[in-house]
Amino acid sequence: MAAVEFQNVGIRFGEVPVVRDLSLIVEDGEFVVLVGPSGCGKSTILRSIAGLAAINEGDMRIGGERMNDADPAARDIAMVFQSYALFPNMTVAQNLGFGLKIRGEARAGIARKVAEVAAVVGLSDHLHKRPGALSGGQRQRVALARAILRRPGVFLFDEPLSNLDAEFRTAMRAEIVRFHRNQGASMVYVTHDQTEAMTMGDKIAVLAPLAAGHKANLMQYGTPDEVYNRPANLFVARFIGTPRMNVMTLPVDGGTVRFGSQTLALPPAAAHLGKVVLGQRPEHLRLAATGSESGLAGSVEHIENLGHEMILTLATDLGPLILREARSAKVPSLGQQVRLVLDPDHVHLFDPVSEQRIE
Amino acid sequence: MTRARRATLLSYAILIIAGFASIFPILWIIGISLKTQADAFAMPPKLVFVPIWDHYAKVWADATFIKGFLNSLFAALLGNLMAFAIGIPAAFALNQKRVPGRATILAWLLLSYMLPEFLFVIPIYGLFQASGLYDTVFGLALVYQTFTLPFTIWMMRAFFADVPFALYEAARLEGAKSWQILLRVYLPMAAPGIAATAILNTIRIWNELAIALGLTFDKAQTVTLAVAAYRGYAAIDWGALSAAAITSILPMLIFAVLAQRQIVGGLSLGAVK
Repeated sequence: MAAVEFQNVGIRFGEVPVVRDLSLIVEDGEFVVLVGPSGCGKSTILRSIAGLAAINEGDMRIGGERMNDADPAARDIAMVFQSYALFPNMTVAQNLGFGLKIRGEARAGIARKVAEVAAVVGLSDHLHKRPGALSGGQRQRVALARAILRRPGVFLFDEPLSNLDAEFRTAMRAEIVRFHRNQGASMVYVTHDQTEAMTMGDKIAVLAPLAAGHKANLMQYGTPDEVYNRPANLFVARFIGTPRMNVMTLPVDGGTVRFGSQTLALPPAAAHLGKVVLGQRPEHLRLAATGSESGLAGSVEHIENLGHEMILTLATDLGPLILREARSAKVPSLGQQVRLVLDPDHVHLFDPVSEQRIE
Repeated sequence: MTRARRATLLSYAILIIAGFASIFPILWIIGISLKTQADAFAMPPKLVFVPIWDHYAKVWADATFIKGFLNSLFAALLGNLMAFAIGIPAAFALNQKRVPGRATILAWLLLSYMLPEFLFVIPIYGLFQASGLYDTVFGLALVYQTFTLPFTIWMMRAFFADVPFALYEAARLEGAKSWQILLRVYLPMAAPGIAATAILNTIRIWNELAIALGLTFDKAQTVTLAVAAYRGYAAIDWGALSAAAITSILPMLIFAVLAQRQIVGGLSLGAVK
């Protein structure tokens, strides 16, 4: 049974549509990441699962049951907020026990459950403290523990790592993934950080803002590999991957396109077009051997040294292109003239009008 | 002397002058309350004198004054209770985004707060006479709601607005009802705000004269009226008047010293928002 199912869902803020025609299924036990730029509706979608944002059209089901108008407390979900939303006037123990107390559980039962969950997330020594006395990571754990206590069918995370510093974020990322493996519950996780999306999700839903002219929010829904290796459209191609995919619009001539002196044959679906958008990831673009006349001429404009690899920005007739080169290779110097060669096996083609992928 | 030092000296000079200007009348009245009538009006003023406690003894033994003092205490207590009983839920509701006509309601409340209080006395006089509320502390506290209630709602709404909305949502997800969220999350977090509002309400009620003058006669006379009562038809009892005035300041003074931080917090909140 699907944990969460959206069927043609639309959400408006007043007259302004924020989510349109969303159909998406989160399978039982799956970790799904909703990713996209600001305004793409990712948080709104998450909040609609929780019952904090009203659904105007379509159906949303949790565990097979239609939950469009159900009370937030009756949805079998738990949410970890971006700000953690811990009650500052209560101790950690009181924060954790709040829901149980509201639901009228006996004191002894609350104390036992709180102690259990605190042990799970390593907070046993902090139960008497108030959130203000905790570090960012500890607050994060309190928020997580509060969610665990509810034993929900679905965990919802709203950018829970964005308030943490970079080093700690990586550690917490692993912790949440491990947590997912241990709990086995379904999780929906919102982030604007595509690295988080790629590293954490079983599946990624890439979302685009309606305000940018898209007909629907959902651009692609698939595994990280699918989304990275076979982006369904230009939006996904540009959004997923750091550095971004190189994208250039090239005229089609006799079923081929030219990249400098390099000629590429197009598949039948693209051969009849006047122009085609060609994409290639920085790690697939190659420098030609010195003295070679193949490929496209360019000059090295900027070098980013990351230690294990170099990221080169090259000025070419087709605009700036990014190339990723292992540090072991011979690296050109700034301003040096080089030639670039496309890897024909890793070319992505898109229709310039519809922006959809061409196979 | 550096510029920064000059600026510091200047600001101290201004503060000392301002402080002296505001405390001088009070010192003067304390002086009168401790002097004989002859000393009080001696020219030039007598700065060194033998203090007498006769005026205080007279005032503290005066049943009318004691009654006025207690009436004001009850009026302040009752006025605050009414204001919070209605104002807290109202502010909580008005803090939610989905209240239709929220801005209009708030503007009306502010308008009511700004109207001169004497405006209410004449129409309410007849009403109170007919309903038996005339010359009762309860009636007085009721009329005081014309300013304490809007003030309480505005203040509490500002304090509630400081509570992150995610806390409301988190509590909702845990199954808490609105009243539980108000009681367990908002009220504890806004506790300093409640204290500040109560203090400011009390000061306003304590110092109120016009409404008390119009709507009480004997039983429910307040402390301000009791002080004014020493201004008789034939003569003014300056000593007793001063002693009564100083006595009436005391509760608010003690209050203000004890709760200084809350008052400043409450006042600066209004200034920033």
